[in-house]
Amino acid sequence: MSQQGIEADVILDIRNLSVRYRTRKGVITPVASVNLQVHQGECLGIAGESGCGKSTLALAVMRLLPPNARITTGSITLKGEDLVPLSEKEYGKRIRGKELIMIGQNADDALDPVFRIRDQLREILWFHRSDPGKRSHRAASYDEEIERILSGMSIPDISRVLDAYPHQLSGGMKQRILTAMAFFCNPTILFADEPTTALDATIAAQVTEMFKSLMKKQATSLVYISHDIALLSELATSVAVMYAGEIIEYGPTANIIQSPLHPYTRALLNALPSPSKTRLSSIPGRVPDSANPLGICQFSPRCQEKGGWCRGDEGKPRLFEAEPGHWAKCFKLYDGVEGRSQYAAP
Amino acid sequence: MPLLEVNDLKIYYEGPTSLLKLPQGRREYVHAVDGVSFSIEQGEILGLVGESGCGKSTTGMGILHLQEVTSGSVFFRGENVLTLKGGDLRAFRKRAQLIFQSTYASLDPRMNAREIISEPIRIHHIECDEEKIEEMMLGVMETLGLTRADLDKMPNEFSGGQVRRLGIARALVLQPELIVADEPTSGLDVSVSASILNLMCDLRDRLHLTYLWISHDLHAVSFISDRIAVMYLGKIVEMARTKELLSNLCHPYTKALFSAIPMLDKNRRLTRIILEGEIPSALHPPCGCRFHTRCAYRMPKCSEAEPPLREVGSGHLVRCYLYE
Repeated sequence: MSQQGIEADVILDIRNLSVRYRTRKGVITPVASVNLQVHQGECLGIAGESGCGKSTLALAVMRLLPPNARITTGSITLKGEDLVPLSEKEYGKRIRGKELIMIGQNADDALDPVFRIRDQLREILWFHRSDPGKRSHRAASYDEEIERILSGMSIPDISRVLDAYPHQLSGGMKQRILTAMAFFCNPTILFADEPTTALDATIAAQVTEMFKSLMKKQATSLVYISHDIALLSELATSVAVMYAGEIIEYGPTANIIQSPLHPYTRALLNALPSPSKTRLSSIPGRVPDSANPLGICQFSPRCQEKGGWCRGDEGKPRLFEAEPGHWAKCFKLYDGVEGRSQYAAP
Repeated sequence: MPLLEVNDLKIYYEGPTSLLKLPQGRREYVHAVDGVSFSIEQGEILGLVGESGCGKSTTGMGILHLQEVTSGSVFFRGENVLTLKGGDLRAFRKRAQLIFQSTYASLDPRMNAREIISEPIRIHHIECDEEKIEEMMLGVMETLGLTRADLDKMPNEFSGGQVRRLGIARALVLQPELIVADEPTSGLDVSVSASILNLMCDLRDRLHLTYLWISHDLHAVSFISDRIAVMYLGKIVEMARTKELLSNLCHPYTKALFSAIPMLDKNRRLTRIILEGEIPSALHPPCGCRFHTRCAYRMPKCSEAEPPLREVGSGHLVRCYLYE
């Protein structure tokens, strides 16, 4: 997250990224000046409530934004190369589907309803062979590889699944096939946007375990977007919490869960129901309208811990490294810490 | 006497028919709810949990007589609901209300909040005086944290949490005794869902309401319920008081279900049990124990005869041969 601390194993470096949508109601900014880094082989969790911009962030990196959206500022650097200036043709040829892959919540949107699973997997392998000259055009030549990869993914009854059409499979199976497809391509980074949200608890657990074992086997980095902090606490090595288009806290998962620094993260964790609680703390008010940004800390109108700093004389708080590797965007943290605010990332 | 007593409730749907496959006159049935029995005391919250397709929502609909019931009985304060007709049924509906699963879909998009909340009052001829109706509505709105200005809004102008409140307001305005809440917090953000859960707790304490809380969100159910019943393929497989259940999970399905939910607190995490396969079709449920096809502890007799619900502790019922 820091300007200074560029580490060797950073593979994706997002700097000051802002996305704007033009809508009938005006211009909205679902992602505002986001800085984020993805390290080699890590699982980065992005947490936040609906509308906080977590999916838009992933779509912006994948260049899958709708036509009325635009990246206004910032850079997205993948292994030292800035992706923003790339032409669509270039991006589609080299990056999307090869280096970066995204899977969504709804597997039905991703699978073609008129082709058997086998044909769809063959197509993936055919298309993503690194050297087009060496591609085999005999469809059956891929079958052995397909079955070899799938057999390592705890998918029962592989031949039945392969010969089925998507509608013949359950939601959990489709999501597993989709995950398998994504790992087939051996991407550098896989973006998974709430892949288990639509599934039942026991089926979601199957898919989560599959993610865990695939992460172990392959060097792929995973960016896992979810509203479920409990799920991220199991899966992710580090977590970024988003609120109203900004990253308000980032750090190792254990630190975020056990000693959250930002009042919003604390409120979110306190709002989770558990049998030992007699009352839940809810967050009063609503997420600010992204068409009219406040110009001050976005969370301050709802914040239970706000002080004199937050009124807006200082503008917005900046991300501040309060503990090594643990950043948060709150005035309270550098309240009284003189001269330390220059360490904050812009 | 319990407020609600459900005995051997069965709800079957007619399955798809194929002229080629079935001899004439024979039909297949989806066994959505297959012999469910439980009771709820006044002021109690019973959580009904299970995965999609296990019949929990159908059970709720059956209890309110909103769904044709195949067999069984539902006693509400000693009166069999399923035999009620006409005016008696309407009087029962006034006392037992449903909070719908998809609130947006249950609200007429062309009615404003005032019309939506006052409709039950008019239907049940509780009050004809417009001023008094307004007063009743405002009373309920206030309890739910909605304002007078909200009365003139259309459903699409409300946020997700407010729409839920509107659905709850419509149910509460009749001052019911029993509320069947079907997934009242699903699809809501954590902070919004927390405020709905707090609200429902307050309402229970203040108005002495009784809830049947249908949900797949085990965190929320463990927080709010006094007792929990776990359903699998149309049957209750385990039922106990919340504390007892959480400290002593018995049925292999309950164990797998509770181990599957992600936990923030590392100390409370259970060793994850990954179930094989998927939920079988309710059209042809497995014979014997419904869970035996996915169970790690299955024995030969599990596929032969269905185990009965057996009491393993005070009020702790389990449907499994392991606890004989």
